Amino acid sequence: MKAERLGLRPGDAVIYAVLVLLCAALFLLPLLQKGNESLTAVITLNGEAVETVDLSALREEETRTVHGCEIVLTNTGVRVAAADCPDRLCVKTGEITRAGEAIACVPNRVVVTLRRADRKEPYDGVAW
Amino acid sequence: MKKMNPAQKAALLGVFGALALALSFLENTLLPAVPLLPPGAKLGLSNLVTVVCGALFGPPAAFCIAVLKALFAFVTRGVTAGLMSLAGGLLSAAALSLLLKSIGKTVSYLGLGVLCAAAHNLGQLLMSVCLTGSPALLSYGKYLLLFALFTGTLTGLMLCVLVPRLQKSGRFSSIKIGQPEEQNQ
Repeated sequence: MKAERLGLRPGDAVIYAVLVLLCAALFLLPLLQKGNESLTAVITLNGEAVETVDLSALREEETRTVHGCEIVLTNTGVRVAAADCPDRLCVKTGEITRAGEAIACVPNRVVVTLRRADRKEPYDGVAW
Repeated sequence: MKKMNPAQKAALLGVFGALALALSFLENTLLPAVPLLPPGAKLGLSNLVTVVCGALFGPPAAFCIAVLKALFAFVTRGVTAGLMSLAGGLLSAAALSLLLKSIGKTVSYLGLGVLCAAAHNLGQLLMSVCLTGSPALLSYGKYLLLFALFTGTLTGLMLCVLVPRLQKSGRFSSIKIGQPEEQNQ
């Protein structure tokens, strides 16, 4: 289809340029800070940290069940193996392995976030 | 083209609302079958109806459709889905309101489609952050934005084809919903 038949205008290019640049920046920025990081998984329920697990200290995979979400922690990452929510988007997200990534089960208000273990933890210790 | 009375406008909005609900049901049925999509991603077919309505009848109509869709999601899929749909729909309608006056001058329906898709996803992302109380979810925004670029281009192209034809058909050209009538009947 020809551009004039679609009625394209310069503003379209501006919108695309801004969105593409923003998207590229969001993808590229996390790559700058990589390295052999040891990870900490933070499990939150309703925005409050329920449990913090140092993944590098794990010998074998461990499972935690928080509000209907079965969270599997391994040495290299975290995934949600099962959940009782309707859409199971958290399960479909798969495994996350990088600091800054997160898995969310919005209906259950459960979020698992990966952090760099060396960073100073806002939640020191565990609040049950 | 004769003026429409309020009842006719309400009926017409109802028809478009039903179309939005049907498409929303369709994409919820189809999409889980497609692999490799980021979780939560949708084609934005039902949001397309919101934007078409806004383009034909003015921004208030777009907000009406957005709220109707959210109510449908609330009834059929629960509170979370309803709130997510509401946030996405309202932000998309807001983006439409911003750009509508510039259509045909500085932007076309393609740019409108992309911006509305991005706004829709941003709304849903912000709502999921509010619901879970976890700003860490913002890191997920990049996938949603990337996906919005594709689906927005798709819906934008559909708008480019659809809206001028619907307007040319003469059926909808004189209707502005939510705006005072110069004269009725």
